[in-house]
Amino acid sequence: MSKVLSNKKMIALLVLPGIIIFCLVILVPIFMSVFYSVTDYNGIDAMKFVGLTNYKKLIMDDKIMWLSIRNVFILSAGLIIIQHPLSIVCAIYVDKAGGVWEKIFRVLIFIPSMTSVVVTAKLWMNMLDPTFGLVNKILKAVGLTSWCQAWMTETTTALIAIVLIEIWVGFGWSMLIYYAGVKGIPADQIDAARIDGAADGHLITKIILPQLKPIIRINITLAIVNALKMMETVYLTTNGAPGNATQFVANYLYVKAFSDQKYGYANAISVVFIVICLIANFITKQITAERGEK
Amino acid sequence: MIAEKKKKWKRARLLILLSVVALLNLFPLVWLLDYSLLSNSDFYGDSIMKLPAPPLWSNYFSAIVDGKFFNYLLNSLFITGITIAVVITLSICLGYALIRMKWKGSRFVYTLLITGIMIPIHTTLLPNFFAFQAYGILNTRIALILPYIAFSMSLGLFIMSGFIEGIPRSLEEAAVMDGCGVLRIIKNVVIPLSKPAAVTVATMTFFNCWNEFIMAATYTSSDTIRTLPFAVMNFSGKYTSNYTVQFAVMFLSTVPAIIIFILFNKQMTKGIIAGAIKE
Amino acid sequence: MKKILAYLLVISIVFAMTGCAGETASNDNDSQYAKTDEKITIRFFSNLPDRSTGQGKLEQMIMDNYCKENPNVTFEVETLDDVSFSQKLKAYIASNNLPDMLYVNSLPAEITPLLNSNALADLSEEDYENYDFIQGALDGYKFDGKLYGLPRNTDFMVLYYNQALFDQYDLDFPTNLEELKHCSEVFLKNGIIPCSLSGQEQWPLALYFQEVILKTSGNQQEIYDAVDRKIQFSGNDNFIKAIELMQELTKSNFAQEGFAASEYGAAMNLFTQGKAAMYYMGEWDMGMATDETLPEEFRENVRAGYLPAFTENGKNTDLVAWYGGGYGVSANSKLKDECIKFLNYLMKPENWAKLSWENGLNFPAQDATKYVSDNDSQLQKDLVEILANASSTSGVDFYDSSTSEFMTACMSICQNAVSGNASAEECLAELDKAADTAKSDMEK
Repeated sequence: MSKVLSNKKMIALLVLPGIIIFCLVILVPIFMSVFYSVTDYNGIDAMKFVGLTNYKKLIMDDKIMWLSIRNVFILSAGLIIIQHPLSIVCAIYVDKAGGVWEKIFRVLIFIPSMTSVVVTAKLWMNMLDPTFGLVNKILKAVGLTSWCQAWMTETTTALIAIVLIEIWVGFGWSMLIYYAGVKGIPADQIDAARIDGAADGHLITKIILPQLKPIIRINITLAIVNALKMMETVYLTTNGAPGNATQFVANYLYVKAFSDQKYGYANAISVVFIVICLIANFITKQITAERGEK
Repeated sequence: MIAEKKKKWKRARLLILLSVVALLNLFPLVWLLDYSLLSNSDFYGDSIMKLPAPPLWSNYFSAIVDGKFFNYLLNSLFITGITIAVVITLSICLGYALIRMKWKGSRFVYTLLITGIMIPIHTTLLPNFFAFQAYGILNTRIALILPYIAFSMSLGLFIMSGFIEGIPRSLEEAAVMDGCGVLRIIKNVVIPLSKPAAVTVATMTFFNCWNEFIMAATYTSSDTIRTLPFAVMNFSGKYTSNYTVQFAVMFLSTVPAIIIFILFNKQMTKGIIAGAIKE
Repeated sequence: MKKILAYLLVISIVFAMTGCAGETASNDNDSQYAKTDEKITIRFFSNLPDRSTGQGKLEQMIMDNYCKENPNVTFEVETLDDVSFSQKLKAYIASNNLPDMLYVNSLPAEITPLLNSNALADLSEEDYENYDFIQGALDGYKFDGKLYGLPRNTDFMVLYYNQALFDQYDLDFPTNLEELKHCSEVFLKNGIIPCSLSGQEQWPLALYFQEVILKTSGNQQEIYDAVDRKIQFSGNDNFIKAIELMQELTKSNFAQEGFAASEYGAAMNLFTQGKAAMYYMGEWDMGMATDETLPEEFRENVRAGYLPAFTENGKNTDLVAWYGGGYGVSANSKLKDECIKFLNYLMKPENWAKLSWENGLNFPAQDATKYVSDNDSQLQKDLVEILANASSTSGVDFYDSSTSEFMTACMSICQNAVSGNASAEECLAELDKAADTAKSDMEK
C-alpha cells in the first residue's frame, strides 16, 4: 500500500501539471509584481530602481487607496448585514415549501446570479437613470417623489447603489449555499422540535442557526473575498466617480496601471492588495474558528 | 379540521411570500425583457412597463446578426467546456496526490495552491499580459483557458480534497490488493465516489468563466475568440444609442446560462449541498 | 520536490522577464513576408465597437471594399470603447506588441507614449499632397518633421438644439448667458430638460468645463498656461468666475438630473427623443440628422449653434476645436508597407472624406466643401457655418495636453466642478496639484 502511494514518478505525474499552471499564471506574476513595485516602470522608458518609494507614497499619502479600502469594508458589511439574513430566511422558506414549489423557487431566485456582470452593470445603470430609470419611476408611482435621486452622482447614494447591486447579484448564490446548509440539517431534529410545538422563530434561532454555523462561516468568508475582488461592476458603472467616492481597490489598481501608466506604482498596489487579502482571510478564519469552538 | 385549515393557510402564506421574493428578485430581468421588445422612444416614456404591441422582434434580429451572437456563444461554450474538464481532472489528480499520497512537501504544496483562492485576478493582469506575449499565446483561446484554469483550480482542489479525505481507506487497500496502481485507484475508486464534488467544481468553474470580462478584454483581441460579454459591450459606448437593441443583446446573453442552470439544476444543487455538508 | 519547484519558478520568471523587456518581441525577422499575392491578415485596432452604424460602419465598409479589390488581404479587427481602448493601448505599448494598424488620437496624452516608444511608422508627407487635408490638420501628427498618422475628423464642440421645441415655446436660440437662462427656465416650466449632458465617461464634462472658461474669459491661452505652470489655477478670477457660473447654471437644473453619471447614449437619447431641447457634444454626432432609427420629426429639426458667451469678455464664436482621432501604422509591423497602402486607400478623399460627408456621418479633416450639396442636412450646413465663422480655435483640449495621469485626475476634477460636488477653490487647488505632479513627471 504505502509503496504504491509513495511512487515518486506517479506523484510527479499527478501534481506537476497543476503546479506548473499555478506557477505560470499566478505565482510568477506575483513575483513580477513585487519586482516592478520597487521600480518606476511606466511601460516605455527604461525602469529605475526606486526602493520603497512607491509603498511609502501608497501608504502615507494616497487618500484614494484608503478610500478604496474603506469601500471594501462597507461592501462586505452590506453583504453580511443585509444580504445574509435575508438569504438565510429565504433558504429556510424555500426548504419548507417542499415538492415542485421548492424546485421552482430554487431556480427562480437563483436566476439573477447567473447574469453576467456586463449585463447586470448596464441593466442597473439604466434602471437607476434619474429621468427614465425604473427605480425613480416606481418611487414616483407610489408617491415617494421626494425619494427620487440621481443615484449615481451623489457620493453616498452612488455607494449605496453599488452595494445594492452587489446584494442583488449575489443573493441567489448566498441563498443557494444556505439552502444547502439547511438541507444538511437532519430532518428528525426539525421535526422533533415541531412536534414539541416550537414556534417558527424559536425553531430558526435555536435549532437551525446553530447548525448553520459552518455554512455561515463559509459564506462570510466568501462575502469578504467578493468585496475585496470587486471590480467589474464599478468599472462598468461609475468607474469610481463621483470623485473617487466609489473607488474599490481592484479598480483603482486597474486605473493606475492601464489609464495612468504608472506600472511601478500599480504593482505596489497589487502587492499591498494581496497582503490585505491574505490578512483578511487569516482574520476571518481566526474569528469564525473561535466562535465555532465555543 | 381546523388544524388542517390552519396548516393549509400557513402553506399558502409561505408560497405567496416566496412568490413576492422571487418576483422582486426577477423584476429587473422582466423589465429588461419587456423593453428589449419595445422601441427606443418607449424607453423615454413615462410608463413603468408597457405591453409590447406588436413586439419588435427586429431588435433581436439586430442583436443576433450585428451582435454576432452565435459566434460569441460558441466561443463561450468551447472555452468554458475545456476549462471545466481540465479543472475537474486537475483537482482530482492534485487532490489525491496531496491528500493520500505520501511525500515530503505535500503539505506545503497544498497550502500554496489553496492560497490561490485569495489571490485577486486583477493583480496578475498586467504581468500576465507581458508573460503571455512572451509565450506567444496572446489572443489565442489558451490565453483565456489557462488563467481560467489556474483561478478555478484552487477552489476545485479545496472542494475535492474534502471529498477525497472522506473516502474510506479500506476501499483503496482492497484495490491495491487486487494489484491496482494509483491511476487505477483514481479511476475505479476516487472518481465514482467524488461525482457530487465534481459537479460542484464544474458549477463553480462554469460561473467563474462564463461571465468573466476583464481578463477576456485584456488577453484577447479578435472577435473570433472573444466570449459572450463582448456581444453586449459592442453595443455600448460612444456613437451608439440604440438602447432597446442593447437590451435585446443583454437578455439574449443571459438565456444560455439560464438554460444550462435549468438543465443541470438538480445536479448542481446536489453538488453544492454535498460540498456544504462536507464543510 | 521543493528543489524542482524552485527551479521551475526561477526558469519561468526568467522566461517571463526576458519577454517583457520587449526587445526580442518576435517582429523583426523576415520583413519580406508580405508579397503581393501571399495571403496576409492585418490586425486592426479600432475604437468603434459598433460596426453597424456611424463611423464604425464606414470604417468597416471601406475595409470590405479593400478586401474585395485585394483578395489576398483580410482584416482582424479588435474593437473596444474609448476608455477600454486607451487602457488596452497602453498595455500594447508597454509590451511592445502594437497591432499592425490602429486608431491614433493625436492628443498629446494619447500619442506621446506611442511616440516615445517609437511605435509608429513614419509616413511620407508627399503622398498626401492631393488628399485635401485642411491646412494644419496634419500638425498634431507631426513630430520632428516626420508624419506619424492621418486625422479622420475635424472635431469641435457645439450646442445641438431641437428647432421644433424652440418654436413651440416661441424662443430663439440663445446668444448670451441671460438668454440661455431664459430658455432654460421656459423649458423647465414645460417639463422639458433644457440641455442634455453626458458625464459618465467624464471627458464631455471636461470639454464643457474648458469651453465655459473660454466663454467667460475670451482667452484661449490661459488654461494652457496654467497646465504649463506659467500661472496658477487657484486664485485666477476668470477660472473662479467660470466655475461659479457653471455651477449656478447646474443648480438651476440646466442639465438633466444626474447628468454626471449619464452614459453617452443615455444623454444622446434624451435629446434625440425630444425630451431635452439642447445637447452639448462634438460635431461627430451629426449622424443624428440621418439616422433612420430616430423619429423623423427630430431629424428634420435638429440644428447646431455656438455655446453662448457667459460674460461680455467671452465671444460666441470662439471654439474648442481640434484634430483628434485618426489612424496610424505600427513601426514594428511585418506588414508595414501593406498597412500604409491600406491607410492611403482608407483616407483617399473619395473614400473617407466623401463617404463620410455624403452619409452625414462626421466632419472629415479633409476639405469637404466640394461634396457640399443641397442634399446635405440642415445640421451639416449649420456645422459648416459654425466652423467657417469661428473666430479662434483651441487646438488640443487642455486635459489632454499633458500626461495620462493628469488627464485621469483632471477629468474627475472637471466632473466634480460641473456637477457642483466641490467648490471652485477646491477644484482649482486640485488642478494645481495635478498639474504640478504632471510637470515634475515630464521633467523626469
